[in-house]
This record gives sequence, structure tokens and C-alpha cells, in this order.
Amino acid sequence: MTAQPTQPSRWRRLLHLRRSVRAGVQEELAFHVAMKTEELIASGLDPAAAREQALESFGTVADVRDACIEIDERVLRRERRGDYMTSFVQDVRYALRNMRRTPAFTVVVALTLALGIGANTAMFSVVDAVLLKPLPYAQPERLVSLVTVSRDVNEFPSSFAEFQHWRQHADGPFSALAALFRNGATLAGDDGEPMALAGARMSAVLPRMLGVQPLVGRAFTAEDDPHTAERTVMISERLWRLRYSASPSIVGRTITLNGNPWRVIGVYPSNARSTLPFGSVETTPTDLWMPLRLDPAAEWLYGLQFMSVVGQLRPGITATEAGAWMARQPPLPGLQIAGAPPQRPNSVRVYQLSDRLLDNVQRYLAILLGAVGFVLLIACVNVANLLLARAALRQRELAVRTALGASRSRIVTQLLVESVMRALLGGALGVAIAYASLAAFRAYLPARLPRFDEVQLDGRVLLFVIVVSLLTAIVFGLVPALRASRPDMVSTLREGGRGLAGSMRHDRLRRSLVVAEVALSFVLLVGAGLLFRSLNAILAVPRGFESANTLTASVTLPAARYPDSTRQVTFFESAIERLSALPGVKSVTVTTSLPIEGGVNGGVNIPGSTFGPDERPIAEKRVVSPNYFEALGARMVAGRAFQPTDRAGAELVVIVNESFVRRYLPDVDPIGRMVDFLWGTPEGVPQRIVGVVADIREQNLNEPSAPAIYIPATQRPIDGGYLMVRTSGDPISVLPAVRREILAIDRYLPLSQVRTLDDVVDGGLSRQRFSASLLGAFSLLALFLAAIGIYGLISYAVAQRTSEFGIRAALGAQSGDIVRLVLTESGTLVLAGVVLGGAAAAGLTRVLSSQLYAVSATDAVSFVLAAGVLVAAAMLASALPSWRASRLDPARALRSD
Amino acid sequence: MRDSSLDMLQGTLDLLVLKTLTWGPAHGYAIVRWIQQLSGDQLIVSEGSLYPALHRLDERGWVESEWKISDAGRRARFYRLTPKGRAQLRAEHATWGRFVRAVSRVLEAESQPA
Repeated sequence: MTAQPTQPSRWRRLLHLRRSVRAGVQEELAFHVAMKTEELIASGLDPAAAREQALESFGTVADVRDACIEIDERVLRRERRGDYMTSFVQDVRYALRNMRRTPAFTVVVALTLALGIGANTAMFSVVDAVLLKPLPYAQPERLVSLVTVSRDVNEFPSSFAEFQHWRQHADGPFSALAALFRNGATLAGDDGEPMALAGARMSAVLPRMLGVQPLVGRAFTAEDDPHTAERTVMISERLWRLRYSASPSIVGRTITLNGNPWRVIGVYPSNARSTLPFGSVETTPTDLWMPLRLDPAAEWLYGLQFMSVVGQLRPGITATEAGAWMARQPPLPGLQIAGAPPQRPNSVRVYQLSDRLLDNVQRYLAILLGAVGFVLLIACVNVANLLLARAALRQRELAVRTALGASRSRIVTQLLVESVMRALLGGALGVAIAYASLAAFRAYLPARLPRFDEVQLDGRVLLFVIVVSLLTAIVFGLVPALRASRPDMVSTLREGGRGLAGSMRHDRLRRSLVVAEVALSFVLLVGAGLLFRSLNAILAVPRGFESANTLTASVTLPAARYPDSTRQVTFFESAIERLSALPGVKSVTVTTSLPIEGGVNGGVNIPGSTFGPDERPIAEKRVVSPNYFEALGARMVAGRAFQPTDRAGAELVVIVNESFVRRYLPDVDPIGRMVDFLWGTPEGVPQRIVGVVADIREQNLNEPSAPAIYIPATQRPIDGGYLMVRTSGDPISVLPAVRREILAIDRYLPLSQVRTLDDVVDGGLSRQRFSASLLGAFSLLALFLAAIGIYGLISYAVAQRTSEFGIRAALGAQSGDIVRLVLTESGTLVLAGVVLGGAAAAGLTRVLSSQLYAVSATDAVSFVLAAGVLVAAAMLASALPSWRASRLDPARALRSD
Repeated sequence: MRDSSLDMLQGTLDLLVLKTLTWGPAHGYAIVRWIQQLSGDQLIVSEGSLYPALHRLDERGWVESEWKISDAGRRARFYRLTPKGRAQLRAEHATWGRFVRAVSRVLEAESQPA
């Protein structure tokens, strides 16, 4: 053992010194006065006068004394500070030496902590970027989202009519109000490949509200907004570099979008700030910004609910105050439909923009952060347990140090310094693990998590690592340090450090820690089990269509080149004809919206049925090729599918789904009934239901199927939609041929959003899949750590009881008995852990309820599965030590103590 | 300070104390006596400035102190020159020499500088 130079309470010595400083100075001066007095007496003065003169030569003795004391105390203080530094440096050195001397132990501790800290760091960096940092806009606290609310319940995008109405009444709380909506466009007509670009229309004021500074050129002004203004566009930095080699001369140039000339006025930087605040969490970056330029004559457009509205609050106004102000304004009158009762006017809600954008990810991320916190806790418990086991081995060393005069606080400090060093090592490794996990997150995280591009390991995250490491050190280090610092010195030394004294106490503590570990892992396992069962339930939901081997791609026909329905119909007819003729293609169909992804919905009138003012039927609306149901493998349950005779000029027909019938036409034969609604046909034009199709999941799989109406494209021409190409083999392999055929029809027409239908289905589940996988990974990590904890404890117990086992074996115990003994030991631990964890899980899984589909938060299967997995892991962890115990040679075992 | 004595220049006291300690450890009283004797009673060191000066020298590490029994049989604090103090003395001695020569040259000058 390397005895650290132990100053017997150096601190107390310094305290003593401080008192002696005064005494020393006084004695020194008194000596001088005495000598001087003697000298003066010797020269003939009487003693009193001599003393007086001796004192006089000092001036004021007290001043001299105080000056000296002040200097000496300053020295003392400096020395003490140096002392602390020295002892700290010593502690650090000692800790490093200790860690080097037991490399295996150091590595195990560091890896355990690194797993915990790394997982937490990665998760924190996501939460920090997504939730904690302010939105990337200028003055984000002043930005709010205005949302239309119908019947005080359902929130909708807003209509242009509403936006204009609000703008007239928003002067009080708002300094600016902007509308925006997604509006993709095809860039073609020059020498380059045609490109389908994501874009947005927006009020001219929006870039200024967000604080976007153009890289070159200018942003919009109010003159760009009206329908009569010249078509002006801002392009993204990305497009500028990709297509125009970042040439500044792009400003002022005219580009062709959807067949129309648009003049480029500026380039905006492709950064977080230019991510537009659409109400949804989707944050696909845009490449084109265009002013609203809404045609006041297109009256039908004004009532459609499709816009996001963003407001900038006047300084000092809160979102709540702005909401209260808007509630006091006269509402826009509700839609009037001939023959139907008047609709209740919509109201408006005002949300802080950050709340609105991040609303549904807050809880989701909080759960994951909580789960990952559990993992760290388990890692801490594990390390504490390892330290406790080591402390037993170090008792002799610590006893010697105590005997040499090290105080308890010195030893605790030193052990804590050692813990901090271990935690920091773990933290450093953890950063590496976090870095790797973030790369994995990037690969698997749903792209729909907003602001994910901003996730990074920055200074804030590193600060988090340091704070967590220090906290961790205290959590896992304090109890073992306190325990170890009061060894029963005499008995430890006498027993040669094998320290049976206190081992019972240690055992009890260590068992409780392992039980806690098991309980924590049980909670995580149950959580993961619930999410996986929920995911399975969603996957098992009947979708009503086949998704295998299907390629989907979006096309948009520019109005400039496809001004009338004849050309649109011709395009889709020849596209279907050409693509169907490709080798490996089984069928081709077209729809305005893909299944799963949702799309257009709106009100429907059903003449002959009456509904209350708040119960007007709403349905998903899809325009599809006549072969849609057949191509998708959907099942007709009544009436007929679309036929070639459903053409322009023939009677307008529709097909509805089963949900529609169940909800709006129960107890009657739906075939032959009429409906009317707005889509290319004016309201009031009746359309006959000719068939009922089994529900096709048009929206999220975890929501109930919605009523839907299907309209044949042959009767209602469309200017764009999704091509769905069913193939006999890998759908992606036909993509080049599909592209070639489309360009052969129109060399300026690009395909966009190319995916397989399987990917579309998966995309809708990405978040569930992600949280289930993540929680699954966390719980496996926890299980692994708990198993190590059990393994450590059992090995230790076996080692401690080696002689006992030896006696038992010598007395004729079969090895099976010993195995049973060890297994009983670990079985008790696991049972206690499962019972405790079960109680905790029953309370905690409630927070998962909102994330679960068709599975209760106290789902018995998940609990039983979790318990089973834990028991199996525990048995595995204690198998090795018990096998070793059973193979003991009785003679050797007896000698070992 | 008495009228008859020469006023100590700032820093001169330190120099004198360090010099006296080159003959061996001494307590404050002895230092006063030695300086007085060596200067032919021209330099009277005030006790009020000597002791703070000693403690400052201690603080700087130029001297160190320890308690010993004096010739008179009493406990006294003895100061001893450290190697660092010796180096300091050499440096200050040289500086002092330059200073004295410079002052003399000025005082003994016979004509106004051009």
C-alpha cells in the first residue's frame, strides 16, 4: 500500500497556528522591550523610566503589533489555501493511481457509467434542441399561431376569408399577421432537368417577422402581395447553389415555375430560421417562397380551410391576452348552405408558436427522457454496488490510513474525489457513445420530429454531461464512501483485512440496491412491452389495401401547359397506358391523396337525411382512377366499382366507404342515395352513390377509420396526384422506366415524393416505432446492467461463503443443493424487485396511456412478459457463480478462510 | 526618528537587515544593536519599522524565523537569511552602489549641465 503523506489534521494545526500568531508577535515584542529596558537600567535609569523609554521607542506598540499580526495571518491564509490545493492534487493523483492499479474494475465502472451518461446525453441533446432552445426566429417569444376552431372543439387550418377578417380586427394585440401555405411548383423550361420543388405562398411580411435576411437581393414588400402584381419569388440558398452556382446575377432573372414566368428578387439562407412555421410538426424545408397573390375573383378559394396563420405580438402582449382580444371581436359569419340550418361561426385560438409547433412532442420526449433517466439511475446503483464490494477489499488500506491519523472527512473527501474521477471518465466515454447514438438517431428518428436538424453536441450538452457526471458521482459514491470511512479499525487490522465485521451490514445494503435495480428495469421493460404491443396492435389493424410492391410518385400538371380538363385527362390516360405496358408492372392507378397520409376533407350534404347544426357530415374526399379499388386490392361490399361508362357527361357517381354508411346512412340502403359537396362541382349538384367499399385506411392507423367519398377522375379531372404503380418485383427497379415514360409524355414534368407504398405506411408509424425501439433499447440496457448487478452480488456472496459451501460439500451436500441455495438467493432478489417494480410500473405506465393503441396501461401480458424476461436474465446471471460454487473442492474451500 | 540620525530611505532598512543576517541568525533586538554599532551610531533603526519589516521579509521568503533561547537565557524569535534572501541582498547591494554613485556624481558636480 502506498501510504499517502498524511498530515494529522493539518487543518486543526492551521487553526492552532492562527491563535499562536498573536501570541508569537506579542512575545517577540515583549522580548525586545525587556532587553531594551535592561540595557537602559544598566546605563543608570531607574526601572520605571527605563521601561517607559523602551516602549516609547516603538511609537505605538499596538500599531506595530497589529501590522505584524496582519502580515503573519496573510501568510497563514495563503498557506492554508495552498494546503487545500495540495491535498486536492494529492487526492486526484491518488485516485488516478488507484484506478490504474485496478484496470478491470476501472473499465467496468467507466463503461457502466458511460452507457448511462451516453444515453442520457444523446436524449438530452434532442430534448434541448427540440424543446428547450427558443425557436430559431428573431424574437420568437412574440410569435404566435392563430388557429380556427369549429364548434369549440376541432381545430382546423384557417381560410383566407378568416385571415382577412382577423387582420381587420387584430390591430390591438398584433403588430403583424401573416398567412402561409404549402405550394409546390415545378421548375422547368430552361436547360436543366425539370425539378419538383417544395414551396410556400406567404404574406409579404412573413420573412421580416421571422427575421430572415436575404443573402442577395431583397425580401418581399407589400407591393408583391396583390394578385395583379408581377410574379416575384425568393429562392433558397440550397436551390441557388444547386441550380445557379450561387451566382449573384440570379436576382432579377426570370425563371419558369409551373409554366409561368417568375422574377427572382432574392435568395434566403437555407438555415433553421427559414424553416417555415406551418402549424403541423412537419418541417420539410422549402425552396421557393412566393407571395400570396390570391385572386379575389376565385371566391371558392376563400372559404377553404388550408392556411396557417402566424401573428407577431406587440411588445408586452401575451398570447393569452391576444386570444382574449380576438374572442371579443365579431366572428366571421358561418357558412350558409341553401336548405341547411345555419352553421355556428368558427372561433379563433391564439397559441404561443413554440407551444403549437412542439405540443405533441413534449410529452413524447418527456417520457423518453424519464426512461433514459432510469437507465442512468440503474447504472449508478450498479457502480455503487461495485464500490461497496471493493470497499470491503479496501478496508485494510483505509484502516491503516485511519491509524496513521487521516480523519474521516479526509477519507470521505478522497473517496469522493475518486468517484468524481471515475464519473468524469465515464462521462467522457459517454460523450463518445452519445455521438454514436445521435448518428443512429439520425438514421432512425422520424423526420417528422421538428427541429431535429438543430440537434448537436454543443457546449450546453457538454455542460449537461459534466453536471450529470458530478451528480452521478455523488449518487453512487457517497454511500460507499461514508460506509468505507468508518471501518472497525482494530478488528479489520487483526483479521488481516478480510473484514468479516460489517459484512452482514454490507450485504443487506447491497441486496437492497440490487432489488432497486431489478425494480427499475422492470418498469422500463413493462413500458417497452406496452409500446411494442401497441405497435403490433396498430400493425394488425386491417388497412383495407395491399401495400406490397407498389411504387408511388407525385405529379403536378402546370396550369400553363394543362389549361383545360381535356389535356389533364389525356395526360393521365396516356400515363396509365404507357406505364401499364412496362415489363414487370401489374397495374397503374391515380389518386389525389395516398392512403394513411390523410388529405382533403370537407362537408357533405345528404338530401333526405337531416342533421343537427353541429352534426353536418364531414368526409375525406379522394378523386381516383376508375381502377383504384381493384389496383389497391380493396373489397367492394355493396353496389359496383367505377366503370368505363362513368365518363364526363354521364350521371355523376361516387363510391363511399363503410364508415360513411355506418355514420351517416345507417339503417338504409345507401346504393342509389344522392350526396352533394364541393369539389370541382358547385354545391347543390347531386351525385349518386353507386357502391360501398370496405374501409381503406386513409388516415393514421391509430385513429378510427373516417367516412370517405371516392370520385372518379374520369368525371372530375385533376391537375395532379399520385401515380401508384404495382409491380411483380422490387418496385424501385421500375423507377427509371417510369421516369422515362413520364418525360416522354412531357419533357418538363418531374416526379416528386417517390416512395414505395410500404414506406408510406411505415412513415405513419415512424414515431411509434421509434419510441418503442428506443424504450426497448433503454430497457435492454437496464436489464443488462441489472443482470451484471445480480451477477456481482451472487459471485461475491459465493466467494464469501466459500468455506460454508466447503463444509456443506464435506458433509455430503450434493452440488445440486448448493446450486439451489444460490438460485434461491437470486430468486428472492428478483422476486422482491419484480413486486416493487410491478407496483411502481402500475403507477408509472399511466403516462404512456396517450401513446398506446388498443393496449391498456396495465396490460397483464406486458407485465408477465417483463417479469419472465427479468427472471430469465437473473437465472442466467447467477448460473455461472452457482456452477463455480458447485465445483468447489471441499478441502481447498475449507482452507481458504 | 531622532534628529541626529539619518532618515532611512525606502527599502534601505530591508537591505541593512539582510546584510546583518549574513553573519548568522539574530533576533530583532540584536539587529537594531548591530546596525547602530556598525554605523557608528549614525543609523538608529526604529523598532516601529523594524518588526513589520522583518515579518514582511519572512512573508517574501527572504528570511525565516524560529524560536530559540537567547544569550540572556530568554526565548526569542531568531531570524535567519534564506538562500533566496541572500540572492536578494546581492541584487539590492549592487543597486544601492549604483544609486550612491549616481547621487554623489550629482552632488559633486561643479557646473550646470549644458
